[in-house]
Amino acid sequence: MRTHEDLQEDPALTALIKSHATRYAAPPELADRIGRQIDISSTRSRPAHGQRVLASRLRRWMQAATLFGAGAATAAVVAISVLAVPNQNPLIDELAASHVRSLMASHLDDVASSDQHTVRPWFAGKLDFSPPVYDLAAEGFPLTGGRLDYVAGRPVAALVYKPGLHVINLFVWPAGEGKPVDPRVFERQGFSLVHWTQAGMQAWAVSDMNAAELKSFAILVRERMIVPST
Amino acid sequence: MPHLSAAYNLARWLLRDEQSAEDVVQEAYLRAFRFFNDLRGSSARPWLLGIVRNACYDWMRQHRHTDEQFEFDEMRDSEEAATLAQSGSGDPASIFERRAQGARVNAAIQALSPPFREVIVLREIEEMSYEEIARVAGIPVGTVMSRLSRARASLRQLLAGEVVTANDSRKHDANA
Repeated sequence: MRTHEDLQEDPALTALIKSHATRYAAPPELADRIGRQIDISSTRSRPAHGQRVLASRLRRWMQAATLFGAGAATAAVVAISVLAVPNQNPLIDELAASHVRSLMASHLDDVASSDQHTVRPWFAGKLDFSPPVYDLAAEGFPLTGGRLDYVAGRPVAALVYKPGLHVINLFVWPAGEGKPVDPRVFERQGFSLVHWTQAGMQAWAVSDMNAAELKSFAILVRERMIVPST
Repeated sequence: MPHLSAAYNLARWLLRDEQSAEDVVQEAYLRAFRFFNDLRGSSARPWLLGIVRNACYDWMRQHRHTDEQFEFDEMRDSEEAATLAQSGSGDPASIFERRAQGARVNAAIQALSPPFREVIVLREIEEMSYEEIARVAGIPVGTVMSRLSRARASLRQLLAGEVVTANDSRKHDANA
């Protein structure tokens, strides 16, 4: 890689840009303003990232979410409803933090492939379930790979989609008993999350995309889970 | 505030507007600090710049600034050059020439579309490695290299006459 880097360089052009292109300086008050805002928000509340989640607390919440979701499903809600989720929902914090970690550690894909027939078998033997894997490139959500992740106290499948400049982590693990739950939208730390259950699996999509776009992704995946096409 | 100069410079180049760059950087930093108390250190830099970069693209999408980026802005660039011509003091000819050349280099970089502009800014101004740029932009290293190569080819074309040396020897690389 190093030699490519050297070959590619253009010292004359670099020198011209370095001596003439502007490096715009941040206004001094910008740092102060950010610093003040961080102080304000940190005294108000600190997220519980990295904090170990108590399994019983999580189970209670999952039961509540399932009931709540099933009730809402009967209401046939068409419009996007963004829930103002109170901060004590540890799973959402955990999923958002996991999404950020996956972006930060350049550890997005353990198996990098846009082929669902490569990604799906990769999970065999690593998980006690077979996650639904669909490439949605034709719909604008290309599958780029997958990895194992650890959420809610268990290993889960994390599938990675890259629509344009965004990244979607789709976390999937068995749902246990219960009726399918329609996609519901949450927001946390500037990220959108959509949760649904279908075909015995529960799915959480997490992304920096806006909630409406992410929900349309969720609906596409869910359709495939209802009627497996390939 | 860690990495703020690099973050602001990137946002200012992508958004081409001081106020928007300030707003977007502030928003991105607040978002980042919700997750981490400490963003100092070189390993946090690509991650932080990645957040700033994504916030810039969101802003551009919302403000529909993406479709007019390929054009070289004749009006703005000649106005800029005219303003610069009046503001000089000392030896007018050489100061004008130097400033006009600076304006031409800036204008040529501005004329690149955002995906090409950002790799030039990160590589040539921020001096980041290919791997770091790949992490900021969320693209493979190979894509960083091909974008850099195409961006440099465009810049050489736009700045023909400014790059006085090593021009010819680069030609086959640009086509490779």
